[in-house]
Amino acid sequence: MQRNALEYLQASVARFPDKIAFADSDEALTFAQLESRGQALATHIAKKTKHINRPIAVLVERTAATLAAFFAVLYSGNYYVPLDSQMPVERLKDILARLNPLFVVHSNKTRTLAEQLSCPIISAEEGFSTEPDIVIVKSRVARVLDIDPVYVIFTSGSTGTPKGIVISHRSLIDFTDWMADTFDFTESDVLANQAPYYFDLSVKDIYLTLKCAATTHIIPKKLFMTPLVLVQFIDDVKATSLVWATAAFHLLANSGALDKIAPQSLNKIILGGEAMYAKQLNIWRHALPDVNYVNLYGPTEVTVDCTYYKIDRRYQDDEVIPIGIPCENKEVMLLDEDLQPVPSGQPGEICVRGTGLAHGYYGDNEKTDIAFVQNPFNPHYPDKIYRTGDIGILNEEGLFCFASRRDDQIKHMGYRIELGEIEAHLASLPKIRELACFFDKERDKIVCAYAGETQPKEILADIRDMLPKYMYPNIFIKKDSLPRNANDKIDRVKLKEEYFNESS
Amino acid sequence: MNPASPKSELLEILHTSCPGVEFENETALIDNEILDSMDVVTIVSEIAGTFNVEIGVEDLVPENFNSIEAMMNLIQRRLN
Repeated sequence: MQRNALEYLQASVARFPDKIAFADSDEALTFAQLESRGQALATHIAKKTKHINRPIAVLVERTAATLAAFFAVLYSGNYYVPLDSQMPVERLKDILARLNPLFVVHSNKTRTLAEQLSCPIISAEEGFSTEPDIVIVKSRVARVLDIDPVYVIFTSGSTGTPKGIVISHRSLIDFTDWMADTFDFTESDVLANQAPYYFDLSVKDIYLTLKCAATTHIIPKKLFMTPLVLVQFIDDVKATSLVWATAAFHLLANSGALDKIAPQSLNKIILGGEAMYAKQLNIWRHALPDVNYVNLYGPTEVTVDCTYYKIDRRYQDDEVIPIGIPCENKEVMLLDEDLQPVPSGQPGEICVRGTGLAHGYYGDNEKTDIAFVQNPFNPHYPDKIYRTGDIGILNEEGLFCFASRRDDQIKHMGYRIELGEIEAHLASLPKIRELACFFDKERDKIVCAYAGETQPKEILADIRDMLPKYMYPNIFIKKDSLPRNANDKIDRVKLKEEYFNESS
Repeated sequence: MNPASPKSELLEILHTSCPGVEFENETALIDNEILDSMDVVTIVSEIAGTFNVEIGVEDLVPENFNSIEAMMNLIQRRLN
């Protein structure tokens, strides 16, 4: 059993030092270059701090150098926290205030942003040109245990503050080993990376590449707006595998681009992040019938995924694609409100136990204790299960299917969003008296009903520094006052009814 | 009441589809990554519905979506 995720990189350097590991539109880094850059920046970090096992934030771009910075943080004996460099400054500050990282690592391009964040900063470029001190690096890495964190990923939080999910080396290694074995990844695989590095979906591309000595081509973001150029890119780099967000898979299916170019090099397409639709799957299957399609499911708290389904039969356009069976070392249960098993075939909350469980939420024991609870079937010693908040059902074929959410969490444009976080920020605006947000799933729109002396344009200008663009309400409904129920709470059911009646 | 001009209809679509973007003065909506892929999908579907035009995958290139003028030109070409 490997102890540290960096051992994947070391093994690939030993096998294929000069093979390209990650390529972006400006540069390509071999495994040896990735290691030497990582160790150089790690040396630079180690000269500035004696600490290990502390968070170091990295401002993420779609570059190979960003990944070298991640590994540098690990070589310094610390763990990385990928942060979206496009995120509003106030939200970044909010996260950093909670995280209190040793440093924020930036590139020349993100320097100005980093300087606004009131944290000690480190230039990646400066670090990469440092002479690596292998003795220091090795001694740092040797002190990190497999249960220590490898990364913290922040997701939307219901009370207005994002939650930092702490994942260990052990969990990451367990997942990566399982995935490589289950889907036969080898050094001949070529991946085309879609997921941004502040999403845990990208963990699959990154660590499968390191473990298997595969090659990943980072797809420039703007290609997703030009589907023909995108499929041409996949064809040109001879990608064998797409490990993508389902939203991107749907997008390409809907664009019609696959009718023009169907990249023949592809042999597996592995999806996750939200419900997969059979209609779009069938478009892909029509264009590329020999590809193996896989549907994965799992929240960040279980280390990327906890169930998988190798799609093994044809589906009608209106059928639900299952999320499948548990991954190795993960148990999946459907439980009721009292954490008791639901009768067979009945919906229940998807609860997970196993090696992949996160340590919890960074600096938030209260939220951790609510989501990570004692296994109700084992009162004898500490044994946690994670309550996902997702409602699932076991179908007649013995496969889990996603049904709905227990709370106000939504998936919008591929992002996991707590409506409560949007509401908390909107409620802080002085001109809004009251408000409620809900989701129109069919139209994929966030709807905000509010009462106050302000207009949508003004509201959007006010939240620009607080929330990322994908969390902006798409539809505003201005009212004199919001309906109230018998308990004097905002009557959300009535609000939704009014909205859906008017829009139908 | 005068019917809305095509440009104001387009602006309405854009502001509804992508709240928070200042479209009026932008000339590099795609190149500067102000719009993302989901925005483009939404805009294309709204334009197709509102103006009753067909926008094919070949039309999905940055030059057609970098500015309001570029989008208006695309609509005009598809209307003719």
